[in-house]
Amino acid sequence: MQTSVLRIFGLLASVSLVTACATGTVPTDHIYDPFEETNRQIHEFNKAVDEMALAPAASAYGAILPEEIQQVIDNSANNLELPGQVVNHILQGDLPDALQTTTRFLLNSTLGIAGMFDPASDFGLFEVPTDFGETMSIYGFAEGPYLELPFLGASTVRGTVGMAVDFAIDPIRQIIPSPEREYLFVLKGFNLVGDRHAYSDLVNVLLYESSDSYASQRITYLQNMRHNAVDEVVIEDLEDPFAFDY
Amino acid sequence: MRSIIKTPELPRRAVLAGVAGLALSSMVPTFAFGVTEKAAVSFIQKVVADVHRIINTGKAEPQMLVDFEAIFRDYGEVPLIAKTVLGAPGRTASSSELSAYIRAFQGYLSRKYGRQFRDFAGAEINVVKSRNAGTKGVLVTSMVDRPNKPPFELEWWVIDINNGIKMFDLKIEGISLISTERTEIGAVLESFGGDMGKMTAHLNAN
Repeated sequence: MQTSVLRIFGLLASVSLVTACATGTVPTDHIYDPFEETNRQIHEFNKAVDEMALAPAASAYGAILPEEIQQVIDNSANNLELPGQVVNHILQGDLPDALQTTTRFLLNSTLGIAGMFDPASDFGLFEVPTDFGETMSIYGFAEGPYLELPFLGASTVRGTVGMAVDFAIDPIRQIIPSPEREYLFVLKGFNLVGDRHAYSDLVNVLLYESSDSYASQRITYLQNMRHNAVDEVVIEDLEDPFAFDY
Repeated sequence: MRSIIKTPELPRRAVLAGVAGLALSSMVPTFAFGVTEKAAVSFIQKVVADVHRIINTGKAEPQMLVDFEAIFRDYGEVPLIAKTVLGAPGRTASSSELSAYIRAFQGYLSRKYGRQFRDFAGAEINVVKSRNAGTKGVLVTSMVDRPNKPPFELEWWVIDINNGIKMFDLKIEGISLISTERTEIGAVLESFGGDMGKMTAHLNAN
């Protein structure tokens, strides 16, 4: 654990050189996308991957696996993400969410048989998703340029660094030994396909029914990410609703 | 500048409290602002009650979409939303082009967001918070609670415009209808080389 903490701060220090420019909140409409040309090429690549591999796999997944099994896969994969979320809630100083997530993890790991079932939700102990990107935003790191990553999709410079840190500090990786740990990737892979199936309506609207799927995905990602990081919009940042009242 | 939302009907106890409050003249401005937010909240509660009625009666989808269109028409300031989303090109369009676009936008909006509200079936929407944004209106936050699923946030931006209190924007977990549609309409218009007529036809077909 101590080494992970050291690793975080080492990474924080190096990241601060990259992103320590303007901090604080940005208006929810703001777009900073200096790498748009490259991002758009990656977007086309990701869309092709979705069209040729992920979407067909997702519909097969939905057709073959009974819903109960899909639910078990979803629950198990979610359960493994909780320890990392606890670490981030603590780093953010959010003790109520850290406590809720810890209780959820303990309950689902025991009563829920290694996370296969989700009794915690019956008690209203839902997941409060968070990640190191959000932790960085709370510590004042600017989100930096928008990025679309191959296979991983929409992100920012801060979000990408956060993803790497989350991987490095994940307590699950410290606890579970090497060969078993690798099997978890298979579970995560299945869960990714399962998510693509569960959210197929939303993904299809975004990727295949938008006139400019790149721009739609970008604004959707940025606004949702800012909402999670900041809680509420700044009144002064609201646009004038009567600007087009002609 | 627009006047902030008109005084709504007050429950008796609030009126009595208000009369008592008026005795202290310094409290008057605070009191007036409170009413504004309150009017916005009760407006949204009315909208939410209508949404509940639609999603929980188990009507067939086409009928539900018709009902949603009525919600957007009655409670939303659709012409202003349409013009805001369109931005600058609207100012140079002819009035017939503009009104055809607004009509098409209304149907498109109801179909697209009606489908999303349909997924709320079995859900309960509760107003949890409101914030006064002065002349920009009021933000009313509600939570959508679904059985055994994590709740999510639905924020309503309410404005006071010539004909009363109306809905301007809607945010689902921070994702704004105005921003999303500004992106979409901008892209559609660009794909037709700025041709308003073709863009309107595209909206009617989608």
